[in-house]
Amino acid sequence: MKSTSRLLCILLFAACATLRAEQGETEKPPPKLEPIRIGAPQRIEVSPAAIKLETPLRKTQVVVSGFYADGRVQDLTRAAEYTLSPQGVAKIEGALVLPVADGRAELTVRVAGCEQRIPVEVSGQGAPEIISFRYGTLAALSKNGCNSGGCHGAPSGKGGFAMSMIAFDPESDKITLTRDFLNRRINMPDPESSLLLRKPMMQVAHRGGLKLRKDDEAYRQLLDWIQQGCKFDPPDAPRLTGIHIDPALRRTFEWPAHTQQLRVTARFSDGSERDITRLAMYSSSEDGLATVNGNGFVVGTGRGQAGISVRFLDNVETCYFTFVRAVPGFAWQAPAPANYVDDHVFAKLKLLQYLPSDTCTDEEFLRRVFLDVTGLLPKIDETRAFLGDTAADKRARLIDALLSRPEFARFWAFKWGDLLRVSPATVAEAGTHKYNAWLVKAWEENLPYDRFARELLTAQGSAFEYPPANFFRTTANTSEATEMVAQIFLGARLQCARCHNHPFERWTQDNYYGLGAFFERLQRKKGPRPDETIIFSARHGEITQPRTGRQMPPWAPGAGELKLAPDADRLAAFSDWLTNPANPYFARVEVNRIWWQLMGRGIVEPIDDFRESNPPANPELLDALAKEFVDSKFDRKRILRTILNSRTYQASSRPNPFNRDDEKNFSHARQQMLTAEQLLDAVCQVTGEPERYGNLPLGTPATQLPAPQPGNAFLVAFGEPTRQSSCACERQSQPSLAQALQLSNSQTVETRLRNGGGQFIRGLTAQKKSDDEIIGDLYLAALCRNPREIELKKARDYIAARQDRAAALEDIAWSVLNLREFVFRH
Amino acid sequence: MMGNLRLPRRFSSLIGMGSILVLLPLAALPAVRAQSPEIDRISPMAARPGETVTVTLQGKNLLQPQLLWTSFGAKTEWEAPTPGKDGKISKRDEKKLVGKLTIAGDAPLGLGFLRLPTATGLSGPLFFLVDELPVVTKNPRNASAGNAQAVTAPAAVEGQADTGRSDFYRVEMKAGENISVEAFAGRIGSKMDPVLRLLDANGKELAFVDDTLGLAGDCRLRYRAPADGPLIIEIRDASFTGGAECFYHLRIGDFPLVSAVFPPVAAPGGTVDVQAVGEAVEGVAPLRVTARTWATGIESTPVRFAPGKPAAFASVRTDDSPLYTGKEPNDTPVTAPCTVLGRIHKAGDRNTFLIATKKDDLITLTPLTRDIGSPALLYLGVNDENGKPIASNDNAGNGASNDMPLTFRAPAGGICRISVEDMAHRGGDAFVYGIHVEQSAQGFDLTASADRFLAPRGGSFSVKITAQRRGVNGPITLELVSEDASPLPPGFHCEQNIIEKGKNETQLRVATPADVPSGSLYHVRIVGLASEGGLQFDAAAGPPKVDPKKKAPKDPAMAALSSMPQPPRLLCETFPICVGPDAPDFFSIELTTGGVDLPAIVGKNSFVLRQKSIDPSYAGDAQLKFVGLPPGVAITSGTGRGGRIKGQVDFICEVTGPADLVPGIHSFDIVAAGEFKGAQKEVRLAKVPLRIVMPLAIAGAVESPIAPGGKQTLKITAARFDTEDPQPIDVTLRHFPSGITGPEKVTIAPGDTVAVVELAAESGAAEGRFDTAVLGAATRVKGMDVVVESSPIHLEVAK
Repeated sequence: MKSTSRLLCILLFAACATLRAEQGETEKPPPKLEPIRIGAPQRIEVSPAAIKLETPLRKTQVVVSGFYADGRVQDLTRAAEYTLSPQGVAKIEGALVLPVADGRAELTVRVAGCEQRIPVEVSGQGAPEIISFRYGTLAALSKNGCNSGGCHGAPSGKGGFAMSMIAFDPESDKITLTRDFLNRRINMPDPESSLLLRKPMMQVAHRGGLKLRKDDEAYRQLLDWIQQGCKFDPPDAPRLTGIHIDPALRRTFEWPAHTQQLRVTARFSDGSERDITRLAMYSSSEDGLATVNGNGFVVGTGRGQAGISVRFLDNVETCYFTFVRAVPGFAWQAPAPANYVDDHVFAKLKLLQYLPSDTCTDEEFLRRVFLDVTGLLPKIDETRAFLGDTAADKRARLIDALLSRPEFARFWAFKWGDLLRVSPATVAEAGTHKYNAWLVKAWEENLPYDRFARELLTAQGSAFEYPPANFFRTTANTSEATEMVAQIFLGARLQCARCHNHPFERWTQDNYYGLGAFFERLQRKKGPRPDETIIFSARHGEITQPRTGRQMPPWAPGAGELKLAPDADRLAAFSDWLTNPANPYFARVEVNRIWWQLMGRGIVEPIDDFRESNPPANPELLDALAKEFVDSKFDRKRILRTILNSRTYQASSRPNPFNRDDEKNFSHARQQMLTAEQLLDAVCQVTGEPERYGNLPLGTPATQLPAPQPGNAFLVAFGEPTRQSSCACERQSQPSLAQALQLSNSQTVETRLRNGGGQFIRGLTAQKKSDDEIIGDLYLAALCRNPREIELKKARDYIAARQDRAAALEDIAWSVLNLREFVFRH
Repeated sequence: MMGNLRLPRRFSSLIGMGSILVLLPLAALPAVRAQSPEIDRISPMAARPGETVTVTLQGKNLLQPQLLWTSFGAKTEWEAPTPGKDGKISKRDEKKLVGKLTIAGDAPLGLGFLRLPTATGLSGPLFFLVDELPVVTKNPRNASAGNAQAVTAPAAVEGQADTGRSDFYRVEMKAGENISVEAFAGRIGSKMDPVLRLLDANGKELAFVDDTLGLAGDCRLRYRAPADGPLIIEIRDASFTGGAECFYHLRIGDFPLVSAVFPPVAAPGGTVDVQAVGEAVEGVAPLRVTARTWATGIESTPVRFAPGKPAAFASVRTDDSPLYTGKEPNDTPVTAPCTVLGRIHKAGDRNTFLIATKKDDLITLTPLTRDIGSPALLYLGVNDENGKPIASNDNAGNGASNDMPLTFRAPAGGICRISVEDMAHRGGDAFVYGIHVEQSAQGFDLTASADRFLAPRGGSFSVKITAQRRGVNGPITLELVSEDASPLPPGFHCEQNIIEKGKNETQLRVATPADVPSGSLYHVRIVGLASEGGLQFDAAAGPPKVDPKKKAPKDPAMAALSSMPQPPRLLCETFPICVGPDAPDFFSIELTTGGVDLPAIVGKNSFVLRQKSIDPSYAGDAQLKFVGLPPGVAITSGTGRGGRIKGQVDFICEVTGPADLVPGIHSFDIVAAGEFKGAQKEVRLAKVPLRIVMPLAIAGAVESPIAPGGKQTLKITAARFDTEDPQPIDVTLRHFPSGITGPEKVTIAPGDTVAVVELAAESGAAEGRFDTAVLGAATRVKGMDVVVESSPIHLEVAK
């Protein structure tokens, strides 16, 4: 767990570095801009409605939007004409208004015959602006990436200079910047000689490269702050309460409209506002789809949706832009929607001009749905029965039947076993069986997900007697418990916030410890039996924020700090909050996880990384699924049924020319390699030779194991996770040479095929079946389809040529097991 | 239980009934385990009261069995092993023992245990159920629902889980009939972790249960049949583990599923009405139980829905501290020492009671839950009169197991309010509890280095007793007390029974009587008594602590004890002493002289004691003890002299005594104790003469007859005991026959011990044999005059 946290932190630091590099603004050539086709907007909107420039350093970004009769909206900022009258009060650079002298003026914005006038008031130009340490100096340093994770915000800093990441700890930054005499960075008598300025300007060697220019606003902020004596904000200084982005948080552009200027405003506790467009930090969730520069200028470069995150110190907001381009030859056509899933998916596909693939064949559906729902291949008679059924509702009936099978409950319990880290290493050998049995029961009985979560979160006592108490048994301390709960139920990776504010998200270090306060009282003690652990919640115990030393009250996203009785059961309180239908995370995270299990990709991807800067591919679909989930009182089978019955799920995996490049919008089914356990089960099933796992009954499928099997080379090669973390990423699906060797020449496959192709084929041979019948059954068993004539002919020829019929059948079975069609779910 | 502070008065009464502490020097032997019988399994492992069953014991070293000892009362009759053609007993028979076991008609229902004494040792305990249900043996072909073994309820199935499979049993039911199914495994020392499923005839699961609360992993269920037809009972290990150690006793019938009774504790000899608690006890009438008369007794009672229905079992403990049963509001304060009884009726309930304290009183609260069959895990909180928190035990956290005692100091005199909850916020009628309230956190815990002892009749054993002190630094005196407070037979003696002040251990030696039948078994407590600051403390020793990092104890029952609910108190709190048969002779001892001389004034001498091996392979050195020496006299034995030659070794023994010993003859016993192949042997040389002699001896001898008129030499020999500062010896010749002459006086030089003088016989000297002549000798030893006289010198005058 710990090592995983560290890895995640490192990855995020690296991502921070990437962010910084993108904001370095110099390396990448700016994307090509299409000329704006202004057309005839019905009206324009200019933001802001009034401009106040109260100090010499204030600037205001103007954003102009055009609204058209057909409902389109586009950014006209770079196409508009701006005039200020009278002159001498302010000036305009592009769409940026700067102060000149105290006075009043009017900004006139004209475009396509539309005009709007904006009052401009300039004041305070006679005196220098007192630079705020926090919202000026630290914001400037953050803007330039100085305190990012890849630079001086790294835990040990860089070059002997360490700041808190993105200024999450201003108090320590004060000391670092002004009191650290050994590495003096401030030169009061000669501010311009300060290392704080000279290094990023490369006047002195700087391994981070050129970060600051004299005409940058950040330079002015830093220089003024030093010149003013490096003052700190008074205790009663207005506090930042939030940031606001113009235009609206969601907007769709139709090519050639593909740009958007953002305007970002900081709001303070005294009611004042300030344009921070040039001080805010920007990042795109889809670099290949949209870029954003340091001035908040967004350029779409492809088709699809991107989230643009805007960060100012510890405040983060995200806006979402969808870019649509007409595809030559595209004409919308789609199967009739089966339910609202298709409505939302098709709507998005239509918008983006992706054509959904045809519905898959019965053979494909049968194999897919069996593997997805039960983890296993259908038996031959089941395949024959389904393929021979001509009823229109046979797919729906099969789905219902599969969801009622014990194999379904065991397989989905197995999936949750990965998530909950069910293994002897975490819950002891006996615990794996008991915990797994509880999970199976939960799926068998379709335990509502809110109750499922509540039982996991509130179970206390012996983890043998109350298996859900193993949930917290897998964690050793409050941090691990907090991070696991957040990852599983909130879809949030909080590891970063343990040490500093989250670099990409709203999560602050205070939030982390506030959430941790729910779990601080968890106690783990030995039970009387060997390996038995008792989980209970102590009546006392508070968590302390290590940086501030503050004793943190329980805190939950959206609910803030909770006022609970001193001896209240905090786990119950957390469960109440979590499972409340109004909770924006709980239902979405689970339906997204179910979607991911069936579709191979989450609507939010990765599934445990819900954050504003990682928007869902189809927010409407996610919301609709979550709504059904909540309305159905958290019925997971119902969500499964809804998805499985959709045309979207039943789409063919064969792409068409109009969706070949779509990976995110579910226009076609994903071809995925079977999981390690599915593949081994399939091999066992087709050969009729089961695998033995420890003491478990012979014939227990790998997809129903209570815990990973140590030492099974086949499972390891195909990515069986060891369940050391709650991250779905632990299951490896990358192809490898070891996998190829396992399939082609391993004991697992080879010994099963010996003596005439395994028990399955030997049985057919013993029944005096013909070659064609045996080959047919082999294809039905492995691929859920009959062999094609060419496949049959090749098999016949091979048997005839080989003379040794048993050996030939063995070879044919081997070749089928090595088919991509066998190894993949499609 | 070991380690708990005990009330001083608890044992004082027992001591008064008949002290068995006798301080006599004894040869001590270590507790014996080698060659001890080991019983791994008994089949069947249950029987009905009054029933005679053929039992098979499996294990090791089962030859020369004596009668089984059982905790519930039974008779045994062993079948003699069949000798082979060569007349020898085969090795196989050492591992199996068959006989008839007749359970006492009044044997209490419930879990008991038995032990097997043999000529070479005493087995560990093995659990045995006294159950009124008829026992059915598992048919190994019952591995599927289709092959379920038919069982007629009520019955108990004895079986063993097999790896990777389940066992299935089929019971025919009528509509509306109730059935209870209860698996005993962990509670009878099995390693099986049972899971039960109830299926209908079509294999549909009707019920599933694993780990019923408070049953150490065992489980049970109750079901009401909706229609006529069969029910299938599936039982397996939760992890599909199997093997000989995974056995089970599956009770099937219409009986209550009882966890405990309330109140679970009664005063000695008291009669209480108790209510059964558990999962299916509705309709069970209150039971009247008379508790055992001794403080640590336990009384088993059957619990059934109605007369004639099959019974479950429960028990009531005896406790001699004042008992208080909590009833809300508990506004009458209790005072330490006492035991408060209560129940957490429903989840989240918090009970309270009050304790009257004086300022700075140290109070210890010790929860009692699992030992009385309760699944509760107690959270204890202490507040003062104003509600201010003083202490709680909820921060026990990692590492601690089971209920945590709580010790607190009352900050001011007055009332302390104790709140009692389940640590995990649970509750229910089965959540009964007791809390021992005792004053002072001081005390000590005692641990013995062995859990059972075998001593030959009239022999002894030794055991290391280790004390863990908690503020009690003074000497701890150890005593043996029989488990039911009855006097032990005379002849049990202890020595080295004091753990000295500041020390933490002693090698306690216990001798067993010689006049009790071989195979007699006594359960004793080893009780330590100490005082500190005017307070008295006592604690009973417990068996060796199981180190989880080390291999589990060999005896499955002992290994299971730590996790059992209601573990048998006899096993947890007492030690069996088995008086074995006389050990075979494998060595002997003898004195190389007829007795031992101890010279007065000098006060020391040495002698040789020779050990001879009767069994040639015995190569040990016996431990020597010298019993019955006169006051002031002591003997120490040194190492062997000259090594071991042909199984013979000589011990140089030095006897010492005071200077003013009065010459005379005494006697003493020499006891040599040896250990060989696990057997102990004491050899005693009884009534060895001990002569207190003068430190000088003089003797004279004439070589041959002296002829009248002739001459002859008289050789005078002196024996000195003072070899450090020898002085001249003046020898005078006295009482020689008439006509025989010699020098009147001879002096033997300090460096010499012999003098030769010439005797002359007158020609007219009368012929004959004369015994009148003596030698007088005088010298000085350690500044004192010593005068001795020789024995008469034999003289013959003849031609």
